Amino acid sequence: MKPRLIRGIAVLKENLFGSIPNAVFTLLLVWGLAVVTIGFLDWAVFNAVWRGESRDVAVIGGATWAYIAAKIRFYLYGFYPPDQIWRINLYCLLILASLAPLVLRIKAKIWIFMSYFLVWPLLTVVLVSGGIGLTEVSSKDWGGLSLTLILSLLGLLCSFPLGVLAALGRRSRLPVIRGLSTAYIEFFRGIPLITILFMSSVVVPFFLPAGVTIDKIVRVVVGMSLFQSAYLAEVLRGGFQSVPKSQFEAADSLGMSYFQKTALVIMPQVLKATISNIGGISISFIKDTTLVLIIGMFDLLGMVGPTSADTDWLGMEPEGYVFAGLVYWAICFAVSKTTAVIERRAHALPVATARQR
Amino acid sequence: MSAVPTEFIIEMRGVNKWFDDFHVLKDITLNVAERERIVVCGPSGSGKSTLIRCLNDIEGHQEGRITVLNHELGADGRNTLAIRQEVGMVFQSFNLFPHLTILDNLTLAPIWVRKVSRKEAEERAWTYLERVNIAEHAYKYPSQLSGGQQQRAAIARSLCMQPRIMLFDEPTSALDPEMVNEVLDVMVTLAEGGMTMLVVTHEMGFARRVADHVIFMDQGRIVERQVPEKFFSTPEDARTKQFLKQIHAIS
Repeated sequence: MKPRLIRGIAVLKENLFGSIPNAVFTLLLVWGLAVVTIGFLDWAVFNAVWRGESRDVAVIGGATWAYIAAKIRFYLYGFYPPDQIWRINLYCLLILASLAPLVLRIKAKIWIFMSYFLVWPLLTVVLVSGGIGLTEVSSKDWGGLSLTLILSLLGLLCSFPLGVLAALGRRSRLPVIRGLSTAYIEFFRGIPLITILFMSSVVVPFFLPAGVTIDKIVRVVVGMSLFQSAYLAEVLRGGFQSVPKSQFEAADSLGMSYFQKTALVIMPQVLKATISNIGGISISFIKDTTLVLIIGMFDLLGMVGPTSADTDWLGMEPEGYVFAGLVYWAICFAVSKTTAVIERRAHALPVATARQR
Repeated sequence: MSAVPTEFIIEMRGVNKWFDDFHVLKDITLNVAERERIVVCGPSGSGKSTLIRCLNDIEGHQEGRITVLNHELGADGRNTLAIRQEVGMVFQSFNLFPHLTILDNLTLAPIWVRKVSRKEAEERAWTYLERVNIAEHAYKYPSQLSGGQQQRAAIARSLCMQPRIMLFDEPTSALDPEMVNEVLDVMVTLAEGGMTMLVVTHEMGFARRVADHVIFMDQGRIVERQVPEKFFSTPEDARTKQFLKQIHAIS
């Protein structure tokens, strides 16, 4: 242990203070980091005000976290009626519970995953939207972190089958299917997400027949899923290319149909190879949901505006943005760690295994 | 060899195949009867692998007729799937499914393609795992096995489909020398059990021991078809002699 420590110090000394310019840069960087960190900590922790009823408690050079405490309901639930908030809590609880089987070591995960396509939209309609036995809450009132989660979860879920189909289509031997899939992927990768959001919120209603309305949130989720599925398709395409041709031949030689070959032999290998990339684009997607602000939906980040427009809390935007940033970071960090765990498990081989029947 | 068509379970008539401009198979005509064991040899690039890969339609052919078990290949996609169920294939690089345990490798196709119950498929799998002597590795993944063990598992995987014909595409070429025999032993046992086999290999000892006929190919043509004794002692074609001389020079 000790020789290693001494060597470590030697390495640091060599790399950080090896020459005069080297030493100068090191000192400048350390000084810069220290100034920024101390400044931030002063503002965010040491001079911060944690309790209070209005901005009057604020001090110069300190964050007013009292504002977040006062507005936390809006940051979490948007304009959802306060007496109905238990529905959102229950909803999140149920969604989390439905995710649990994926992390446990059980078989038939694919069926659990499939069940989400039924369970999640159903939960969203019954609990969050209401109308059947519960008071209906217009999607205009949804907001805050719960809206972010609804958009992310439903968007990612719906993008999955679309992305798989598009990726398979792009590899098809039939020119028509291949052409259509390629056009689909290139179209949605080629236009910015904002454009899609505008289209789905403003333009699509014009094309609906009179009397037909589709809730804005549905249009947005569909639009975002289409966008995301194009990226997913490209990630999966890379995965398909990483599966050797001999695997296709082996499946063929056993008499498997196209569907059996794809679902039982090729897809599992593709997913295994692309877990970390899928995690990566999912994180991007979660962050991209903030763009719904542009079309008048108040997700977590969007709540900074209206809550800091309250005359009691004017000028509290910095606190709001820092808070929102931290929450996004926490979510993305959790997704990233989960992805890493799933990947490690997928690549793990069983230890010792001379197990007999 | 006079031909009453139903007598043979594999028939190739004037088969030609091209890879773009390259003419790999030239006017191949070949009959194989049930329980016949045929070894195909020849220099590399002579088309021997392509020949047997045409027999389960992993490679398509452009001209001629291939009839396997009285179904014509290439005519109808459904024929292809039906024939592949009856024709097992063992590859040079094993091609086990890396994401499944050995046991799951063996039961996958019987369960999904043959629609056998899981219980029955597993029983069948254990039988063949014991026959190829790797039952103790059933719960391992392919990457945890040696090449010889993987190849024996691959043979067992094919056998679990209970095929009527087995094709071997250089099954020992990718193996370390000390593992060749364990695989050949399995193949000999299989041959002695009466399986119809087409084997592309350079293992001349194997050919001598089990083959009913040895086929020599060169530049896309079948040059010679002989019983092993004659093939090795008095080959007819000059190219065969040349090839055998080269093989003997090595070993």
